[in-house]
Amino acid sequence: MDTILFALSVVFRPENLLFAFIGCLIGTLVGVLPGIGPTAAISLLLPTTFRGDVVSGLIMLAGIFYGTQYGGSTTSILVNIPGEAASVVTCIDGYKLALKGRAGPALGMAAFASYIAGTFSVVLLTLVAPPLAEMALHFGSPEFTAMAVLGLTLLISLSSGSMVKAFMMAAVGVILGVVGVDPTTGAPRFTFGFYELEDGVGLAPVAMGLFGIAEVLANVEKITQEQRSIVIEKVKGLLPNLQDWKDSAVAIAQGSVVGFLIGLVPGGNTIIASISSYALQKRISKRGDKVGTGMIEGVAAPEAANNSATGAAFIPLLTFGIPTTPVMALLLAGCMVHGVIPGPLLIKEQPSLFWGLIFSMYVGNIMLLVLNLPLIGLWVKVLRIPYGILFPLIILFCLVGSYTLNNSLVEVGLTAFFGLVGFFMRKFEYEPALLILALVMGPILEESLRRSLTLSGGNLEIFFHRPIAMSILLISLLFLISFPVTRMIRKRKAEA
Amino acid sequence: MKSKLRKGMLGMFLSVLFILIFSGAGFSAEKFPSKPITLVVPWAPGGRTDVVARLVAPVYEKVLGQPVVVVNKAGASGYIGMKSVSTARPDGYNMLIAGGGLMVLQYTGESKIRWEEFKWIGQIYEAAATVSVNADSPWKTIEDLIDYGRKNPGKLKHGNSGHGGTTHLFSEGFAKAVGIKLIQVVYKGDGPAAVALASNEVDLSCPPLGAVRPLMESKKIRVLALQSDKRSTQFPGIPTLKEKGIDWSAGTFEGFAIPKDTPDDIAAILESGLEKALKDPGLAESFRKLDITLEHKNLKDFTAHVAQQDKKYHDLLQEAGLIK
Repeated sequence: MDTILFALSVVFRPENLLFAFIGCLIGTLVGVLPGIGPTAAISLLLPTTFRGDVVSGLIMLAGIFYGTQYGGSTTSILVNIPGEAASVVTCIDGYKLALKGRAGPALGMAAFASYIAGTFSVVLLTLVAPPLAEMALHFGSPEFTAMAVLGLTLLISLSSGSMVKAFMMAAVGVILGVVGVDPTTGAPRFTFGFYELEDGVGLAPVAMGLFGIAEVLANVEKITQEQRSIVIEKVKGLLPNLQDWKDSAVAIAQGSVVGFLIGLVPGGNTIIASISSYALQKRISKRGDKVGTGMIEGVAAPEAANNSATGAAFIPLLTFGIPTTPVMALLLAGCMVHGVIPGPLLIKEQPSLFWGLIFSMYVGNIMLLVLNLPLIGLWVKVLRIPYGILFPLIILFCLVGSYTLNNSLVEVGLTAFFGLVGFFMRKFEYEPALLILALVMGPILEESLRRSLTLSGGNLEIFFHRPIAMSILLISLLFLISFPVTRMIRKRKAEA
Repeated sequence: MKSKLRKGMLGMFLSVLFILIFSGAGFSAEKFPSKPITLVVPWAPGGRTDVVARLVAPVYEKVLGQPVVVVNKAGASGYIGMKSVSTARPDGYNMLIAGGGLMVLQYTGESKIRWEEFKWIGQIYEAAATVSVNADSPWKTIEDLIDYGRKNPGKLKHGNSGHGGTTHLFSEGFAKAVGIKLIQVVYKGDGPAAVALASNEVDLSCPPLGAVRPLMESKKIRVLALQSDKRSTQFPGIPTLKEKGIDWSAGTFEGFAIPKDTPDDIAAILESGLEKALKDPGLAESFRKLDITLEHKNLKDFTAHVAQQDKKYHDLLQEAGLIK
């Protein structure tokens, strides 16, 4: 009780409230803008926290991080461009909802799901951080391999169209992930002499190309060919109705849990969290086969999961001083400049920082909800901007965004190239989300598989001796078998 | 239409000429420095290099009397930022913070950069590498580990931050010095490698102290020795390899560098300014908290040190099979 009062006294200092608000605001904007993700935004703003109070600075940076997860869904829903990578899955149902004139409820549900899941994960963070951190240490290379296999398996269930095409997209994504320096031997692969490609094909340029540029190209073509306005004329309601809540309740609950568990894993990130939760939703929902055609639970599940994951990601940092994601590494630096070293002694040595930061997340989540709900009306108006203005703006944001990633034109070229590829993928009905998610999973799979095999001396038995890895692999196998089986059953039913 | 274009081109040409004359010839006569100095960090904000640059900059600008602006130019393992300084105008207003990372980058990947492209005006810090093992491992001292390694060649697995990265070389160098053979397991950075050590996935790792310190304090990792000639002031309980009779020391180091064609008088101003700045008492304390040691070397010594390190890294990389 004393701790709570103490924490609240830290959070409700005017300057800390202000910084929490600034962080949430910047986070929302960063989430909305395609290209700039939380890592880039935090690294740009990190130096501003080097002078001044360390608690306020961290509260702001953390606010940016979970704020982006709120904002990221906005462009996914409105214009089918993921504002940041964790919202790729949200595009699938979100944009289709917008086309049906239900952008408002979709945005509203995204905000509410984010809020509920975000608060859920902070509660767990408050209560059980230390024992959970211990668990994270049991997650080694074989477990990562199993996770990546599961991730790739789940991908297939995202596809609503042809299974063969889904496999092809996943394969292309994994192959793209091979570009760059070989992790074990240091040899450059498929870099064609571009040193910019040594770090691999970036996720952001590919996503902006396949979604942003390709979406614009496809719409321009439609406008010129059919003279059809794609502007959504009727906007039905701004907030989710009772039926929407009923449809999304399970999604939010499972998204919160799945997201938290995956966020806890070192390196397990918001992207994997959102896919897993979406895939699970597709399995357990009563109208699972319709998820992917514009169902509200298809928005609620991934948005809940990516927010829940953000809270969990703080645990290894705050309890062991281990940054498990790039964003956490930046927060660690933010502490270190002030001579504060996160780790097991942090609660004792810096109680105001530890509890202040955690409780600022409760407040921040409320701020984000309050900030995002009124904005929905404004965002929906974005759909009414004439395309002559909106399209060049989207292209501009995508190209400038890709340039700022590395200050190099190679990324801009990649964005343009994948824009063209994405246009044709759309024409021939290939799912771009699958390619992007496979691009995330591929390098994780490669690295951890090769590492596991180095550890075991090339013996595959290592996967059978590790209970966690083994069970994840079994789950993947079950999933894989269940696809053709359920398809068969559905077919039988349809025939009967 | 055409004449308008030509007029525009002429105007542009004239203004470029104008800028060239005034910025080049105009300023050189004035006292250096007469405008803000750009300090390029070739990594994204938040790394050790970035933190050091931002700690030194405010002290340095007080000595020089002009602002020192820290700019992050990340990408391609530091190549983009480093090259941007080596190809910048050699007028003393473009400065780089670099060290161990550049040594390795010279020989790996497709990037083409050499340490000779810079004047090395002064070293700022060094951070000794460690020899760390899991806290539950049977090895209580460095001798235990070496004994085991000699009796079981090719059994010990060491986790490093990337093939041909500095931590890889620290481990290989140590192994060679004591005559043991290691299997290398590659992670993405010192952080994940430290976690792998704490969860007993690998047997040892040799990152700088800062990377394993939190896990050492939570009693998950034991630091057996520092790869250094002298003990750490903050953790005097950790022995050094030298006092154990092992002739090997390694660690990362960094300092400031400017394009090699910068005039000597300007380099001298920057050199003596840095020396003065590093005497600031607060700086040593801040460095100590980062688990790095303030260690100044002037232009002459630093250049010699860089040349010597270059040879050391080259030999290690050759032995690791990274240079054919």
